[in-house]
Amino acid sequence: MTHEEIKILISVYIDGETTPSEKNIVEEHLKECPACQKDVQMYKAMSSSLSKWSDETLSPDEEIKVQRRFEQRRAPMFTNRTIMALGTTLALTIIVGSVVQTYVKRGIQGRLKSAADNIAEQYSIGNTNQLKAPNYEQSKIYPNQLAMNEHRSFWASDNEAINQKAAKVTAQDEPYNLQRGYTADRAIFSGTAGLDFVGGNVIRKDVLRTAAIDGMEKKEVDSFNGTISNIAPAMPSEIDRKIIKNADITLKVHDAQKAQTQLESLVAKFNGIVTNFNINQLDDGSRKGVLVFSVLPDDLDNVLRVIRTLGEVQSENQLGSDVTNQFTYLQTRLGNYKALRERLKKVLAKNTNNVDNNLTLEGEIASAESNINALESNIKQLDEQSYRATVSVNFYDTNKTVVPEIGFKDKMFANFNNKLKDTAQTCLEIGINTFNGIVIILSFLVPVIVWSLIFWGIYLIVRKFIK
Amino acid sequence: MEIQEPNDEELVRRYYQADGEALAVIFKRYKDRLFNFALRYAGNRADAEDAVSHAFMMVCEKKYAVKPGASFKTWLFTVARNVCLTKIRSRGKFLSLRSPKNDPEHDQPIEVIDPKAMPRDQLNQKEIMAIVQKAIHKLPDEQKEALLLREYQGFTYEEIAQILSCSLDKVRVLIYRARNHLKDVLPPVLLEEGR
Repeated sequence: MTHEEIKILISVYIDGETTPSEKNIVEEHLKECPACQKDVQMYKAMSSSLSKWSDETLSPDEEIKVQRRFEQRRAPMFTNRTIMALGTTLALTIIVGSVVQTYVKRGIQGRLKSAADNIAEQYSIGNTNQLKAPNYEQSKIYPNQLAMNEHRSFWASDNEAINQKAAKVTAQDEPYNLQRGYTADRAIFSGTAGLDFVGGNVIRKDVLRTAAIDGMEKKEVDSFNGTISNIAPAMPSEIDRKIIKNADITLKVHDAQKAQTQLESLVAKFNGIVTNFNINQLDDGSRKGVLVFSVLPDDLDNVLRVIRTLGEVQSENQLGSDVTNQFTYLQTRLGNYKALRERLKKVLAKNTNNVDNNLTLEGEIASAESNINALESNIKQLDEQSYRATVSVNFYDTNKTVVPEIGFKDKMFANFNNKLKDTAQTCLEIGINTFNGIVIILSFLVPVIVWSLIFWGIYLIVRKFIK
Repeated sequence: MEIQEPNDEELVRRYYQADGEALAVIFKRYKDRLFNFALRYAGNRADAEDAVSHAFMMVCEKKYAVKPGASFKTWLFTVARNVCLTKIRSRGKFLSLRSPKNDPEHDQPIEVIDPKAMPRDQLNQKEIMAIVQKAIHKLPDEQKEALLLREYQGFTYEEIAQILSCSLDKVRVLIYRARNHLKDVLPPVLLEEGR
């Protein structure tokens, strides 16, 4: 240790800040070094002299001045911490509120959508019985409102039918509490009856009577003669209903070619018949195709269920047209024409001498046969249509290039992408809701803040003047 | 039985828990000590006042973190020391723009009679104080603050190291050099035993 270092230690020794070992070193050195002994004395004298610089205190005025200065900062109303806490609470409230609002809105929309889908589905298959309408009685009266409307319009528009006296309307077994409150038991119209349905009224009683004479038992006509004007159109039995079912579905698929293959195998599986097929590649590389096929009506639901799994459903429509009445009407007309033909043939057989009459009769028979052929064709067409349900599948992809077979990893990636997209959409919705919340809150808070600042400023000025 | 006064950290904790009286106790305990240190260091009452105000403002703004090993006293003096240092430095910059010749305060900061020329017995208390003030003000800043904290505030070397944010060895050297410097500046009469 150098002498200079020892001197530093002596200064420390004077202040009593040396370690025990340093103290020993210093004390050993002092025994041998008179100069350092002198320094010790000198340091002690110096300390004594320095202590002559007496302490000073704050004067009362200075003390008040100092206190005032720092007390202005004392217990501030809004410290950084409280501002942070308030801000965080506000932000959390807005965010949580936005999230809740987003999900509640989605839930309501989802429920409304499913309810709407349910209603649409019920109507599309023409089964309004399942709908719990507020006026259950009305739905009971008209088991198929759609069919009823169709029935009315059909009859109202077809004057020929009236003139041909070819209506056959059979009422249900149970009593009908009709819209106008009329009742008819076992209303049976047989033979040729002409009815003109306009807003549910039955007219042309004269035609009915004529028809009754032609085909009905006298007592039956009499029993209904008094009430016939008040009888609403009776519905055909549901058991014999002929409903043409159509479904139209648009799919966004990953690969249109693959979707086509899958659809074809599906058609084969359900013994369907392809009636139309078309696939095109567009300019941008994407492909668009249409496949129209028919299946048994009972298989329609299963077929649609499988189709929905082939891609992302963009739109879906199902239509059910009740053609029972049209079918019945055509059959009635066919029967009448056949009867007419037979009668004319009988008359022709009896009138062998009158050539003119024979020619007229033959012409009438030919006309009746022509009508019979046309009606048979129409009936056959309707029968076929109701026998098979038609499904039209529109599908398209957005592939710009040919994409290889999707592997497990790719599927995972695709799922991840979809989830990411959904999450981003959710975040965006939350962000927008948050922004809305902030705007709403600010619109309420800004006036409050402005007024608070004004009052605070006035308070500070007044306080300053008082002091 | 004597009631033991709460320590500084306890008082600060109470103040942070909205006990306004605790701050009054702290202020009473440290106002003069801080003022004396700042006055000796900065050299004028206005700056010393500012240093005390600022130190307590920091307390009010809850800048001091109450935790084991963090002494409130050293923290308070550190704040005051920093304020003084800033004042001294800004004053130094300001003075450097002025002509020393035209600055009477710069020429004669403290009016002191040449002690070497005076007889030993004629030096009274006031004169000794003036001589000591002048000698200490001539010390470099670091030596001055280390010596002031040691001689007038009684801080240990470790506490001084905390306040000055330096090592313990440096504090030892600073104090030794300050004393060595004073040995050369102060009149021999003040360095003799028996004064």
